[in-house]
Amino acid sequence: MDPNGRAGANNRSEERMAAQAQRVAELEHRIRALSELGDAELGEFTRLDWVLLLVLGAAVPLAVLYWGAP
Amino acid sequence: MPLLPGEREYGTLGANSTCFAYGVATWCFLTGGYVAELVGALEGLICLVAGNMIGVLLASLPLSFACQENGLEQIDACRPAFGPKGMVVVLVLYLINMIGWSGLILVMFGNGIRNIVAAFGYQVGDWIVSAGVALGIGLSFLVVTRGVAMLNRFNAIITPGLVALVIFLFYMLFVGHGWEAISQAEPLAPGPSPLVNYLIAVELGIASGFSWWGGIGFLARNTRTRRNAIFPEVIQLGFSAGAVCAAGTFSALVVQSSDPTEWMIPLGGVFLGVIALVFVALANVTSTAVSVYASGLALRHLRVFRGAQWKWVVLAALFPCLPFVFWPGELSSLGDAFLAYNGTMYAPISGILLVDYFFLRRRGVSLWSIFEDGENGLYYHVKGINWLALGALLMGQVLYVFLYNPFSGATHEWLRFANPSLASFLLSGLIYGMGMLVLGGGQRPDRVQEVEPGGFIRPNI
Repeated sequence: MDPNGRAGANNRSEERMAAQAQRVAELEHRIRALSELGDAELGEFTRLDWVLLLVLGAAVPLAVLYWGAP
Repeated sequence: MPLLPGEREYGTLGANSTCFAYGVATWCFLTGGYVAELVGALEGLICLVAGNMIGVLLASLPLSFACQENGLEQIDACRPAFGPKGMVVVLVLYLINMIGWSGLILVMFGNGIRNIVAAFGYQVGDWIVSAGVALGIGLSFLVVTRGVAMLNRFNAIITPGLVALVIFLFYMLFVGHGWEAISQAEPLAPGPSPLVNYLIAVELGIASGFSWWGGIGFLARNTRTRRNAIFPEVIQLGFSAGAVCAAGTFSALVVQSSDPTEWMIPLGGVFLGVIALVFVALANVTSTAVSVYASGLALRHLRVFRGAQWKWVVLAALFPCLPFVFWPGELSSLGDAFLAYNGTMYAPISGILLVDYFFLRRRGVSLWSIFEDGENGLYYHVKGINWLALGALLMGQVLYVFLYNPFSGATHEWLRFANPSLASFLLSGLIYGMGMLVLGGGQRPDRVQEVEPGGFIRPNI
């Protein structure tokens, strides 16, 4: 067994573990930041928006499809 | 990693222009060609624009809000409903969608090369289509492995060019032929019943809208406001992309071919037609590259690809396209069935996600649990799988195929009363919602605390 090879493998394994720990720490930071967001940061979506969306995306297209049927 | 508001790129203009650029792609021409086989120009226009808008709305409703509010990719947004292992089923369906589109567009690339060669008077065998598909796979690999910056550079050239091409098509159609000729052109291969043809065309339009499912989460998580997460998708991916598909239908009807690479020379003459064909061929490479890039990102959700080098992930995403090298004609002839299959895949998933996010969880999900693979996560369900969600998905698919089998073309008489995508969307959502209530003893899951204690046992990044 090559002792240098084993040391290299150990180093790579430690590097991978360190990178993983860093990713987890970054994820935790992001989750905490996102949990604190509200309408001010994410934008509001009012009842009028819902009505507009459903009329534009569903009611009008369904009516047109019905009208266009042979 | 979930995106923070400061990292998101799209305001109103950015969201609209990105959705438009994403929507105007060569697969719109394929969709338009398939619809032209069934119905005429006016019916095709209605089915594609209205159907596309409905499909995009239903696919976007749960995903846009879940992905924008939590900065999530769409595959992660599926974890609360399907579980950390159950969402692999969604991932597989998503990859089938991406690979299928990539393969069809690669065949279009190969057909384009054959038609360019033919325009110069050389008749070559079908082997050139296979060679074109292989070349397209190689070019896509080169583009995607050079990263998103290279992809954006290509798209910055191709998208305005595609807009110019659509204008060119409309101009040649309306000036060269006129609306009367377009509207009176016969469908290419209609069935005996005009109503059934129309209903299948409606389904292709709605399925075309659902087929944007794969891009919706990516676009929404990059927007800064809720309005920008959904309105641009419905307007651009729904309305604008539907209009581009309709340009394809008109061209197919006038030229009497559903193959987009056969439209350019008859419509624009040899000189302009060959230029347009070369451009379509280039656009096909970028469309494939976008699709393969998205597939690569999706594969990263699997543990085996999480730490792998990007080039191996890209190769894994391109590998399933190899059959298109050997059987380009046979596989591309299944294109319309594949388009409808998008509805089979995504309509029930969207129904389940809508009920889960809005009704059961009341728009509150635990990000800690979404990124937790351990049994302590709220969304672990049974051994990492929510069998109820998978059952509801299966039932939705069975109902779809019962109403309309995209591969055999068989339809049930109930198709007159129930659209396959809408019916499977409703059935899967209903089964899932009722089942979760029964499992919860009549109660919805507890609301997630606004500030959770946090911490991971087995994080899935």
